[in-house]
Amino acid sequence: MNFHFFVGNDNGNSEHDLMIDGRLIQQPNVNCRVDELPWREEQAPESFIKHLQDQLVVTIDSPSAQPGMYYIGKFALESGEIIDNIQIGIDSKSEMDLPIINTLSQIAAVAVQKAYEEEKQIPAQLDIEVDMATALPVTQHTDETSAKFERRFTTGRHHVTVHLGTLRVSVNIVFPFVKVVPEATPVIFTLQKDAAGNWREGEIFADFAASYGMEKKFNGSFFKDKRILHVDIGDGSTEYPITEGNRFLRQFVHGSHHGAGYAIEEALQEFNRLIHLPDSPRQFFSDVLKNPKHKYHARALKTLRRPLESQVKQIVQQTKKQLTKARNEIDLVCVYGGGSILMRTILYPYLKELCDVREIKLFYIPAEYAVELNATGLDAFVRGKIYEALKNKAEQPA
Amino acid sequence: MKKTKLAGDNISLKTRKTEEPLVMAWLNAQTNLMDSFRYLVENEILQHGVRNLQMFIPVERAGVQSSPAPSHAAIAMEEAKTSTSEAARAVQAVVAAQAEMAVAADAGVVHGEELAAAHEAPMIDEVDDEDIEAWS
Repeated sequence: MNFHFFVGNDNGNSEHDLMIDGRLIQQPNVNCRVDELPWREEQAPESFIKHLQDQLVVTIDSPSAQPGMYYIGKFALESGEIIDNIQIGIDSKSEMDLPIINTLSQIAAVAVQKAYEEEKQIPAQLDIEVDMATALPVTQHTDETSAKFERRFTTGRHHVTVHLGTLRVSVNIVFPFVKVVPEATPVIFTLQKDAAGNWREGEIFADFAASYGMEKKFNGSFFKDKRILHVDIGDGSTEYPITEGNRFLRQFVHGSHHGAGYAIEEALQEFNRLIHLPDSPRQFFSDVLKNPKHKYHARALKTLRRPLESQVKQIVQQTKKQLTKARNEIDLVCVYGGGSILMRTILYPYLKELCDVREIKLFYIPAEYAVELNATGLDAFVRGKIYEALKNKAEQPA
Repeated sequence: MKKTKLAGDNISLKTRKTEEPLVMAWLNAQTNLMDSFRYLVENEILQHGVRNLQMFIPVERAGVQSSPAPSHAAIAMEEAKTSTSEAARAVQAVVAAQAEMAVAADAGVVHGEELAAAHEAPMIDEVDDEDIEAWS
């Protein structure tokens, strides 16, 4: 069977968010290399299909990554094995195997699910062609690194064996064209339009429109020609690009090594001490933070407060710097990213005051949407006219 | 690979900044642009079947020109003016078309929606060359 997928791929330090063929996948961005399958007895392969993302085991044979068998995402995190993750502030994403391996694995998994959905049986082999847009942190994004990252996907054919128990499905993936952009910039597309290409509407804008008295027929067309300063707070970096309409302004692209991950790392030791564990990974701490029902939730928050405050102050400083650089000629400041959820109570008042004084609107994206915007933005980008034009240009012989 | 369009999908159209005035005049003369395009496409299919026109038409073509010497269009208009029978036929055609439209309008909602869609289609594309440049 053959499929063609559009993929918007946000390789976060903490979470991997991808839109694959219109489906949003969210997994911890970790994996671990293993020697053998975790399953011995035969289990019905069909039983793996529905929650494949949560029990994803693959064997990778790709020119761009170390070959071998891997547990991916949640399954790796919960396996107790030593996991590989992106070291914030240290690793360069364009050179690591992890984003390659995890991206290939998630695409292969969705392909297997889609084939099963359509045929009601598990295929032996699949051939997938992928158009993909992905991003690098602003601090790491140069012509060189982006071209290199693109080449690691577009060079050669990637073989992914998806293990459904002892059954193997062989998935071949090729990327005729990949575009790597600076993180956060494609968010402008998902703010304007929904997946069907109409002006976006809905709950995401409700608070923002109400706080500035613009409820009447507010939709994504508002952002059409606005100058926006983005504050995309991740785990390992925060991006502050400025966009105008459908473009990003190269001269203002700026990022800093601040984020929730630094605060979490600082708090992690104290947290581990409080819960009587010698060591637990950052992603476990993140999971506890995301889950208000977890028995350690309150303790996690408490250890985090002070480190978080110091990150917030740095982010406010960087935001001020960008505003000054742009001579305050900004229509709105737009705050999102996983880190924005944790920092909201501390960060919002600082930014609101800053924006009010400078006569700029503040759109602090609601928590439910704050994480997925990068992935849906990349998805909108990869399906859009600009990607198509860039791809056509690349295909024409020089 | 380009995404395959399905019935009901949007297609986006944008005129060139350097579009020929006669082409613009033609566009502006349509009351239902999408249906006019559809008619042209239907004619092409009747004559040649489904094919990629890009494989058969020259990239550089003289095209319609509004200013120099009487063009085909101008000649056709002149002829229509001079030849009374032609003119009469043209008038008949217009009347018939209007009657058809009236009937269609009576048919109601469907036609209205189609009209709305037709007017929307060229508006969908807000991306211009400079936008593309910014991302390359």
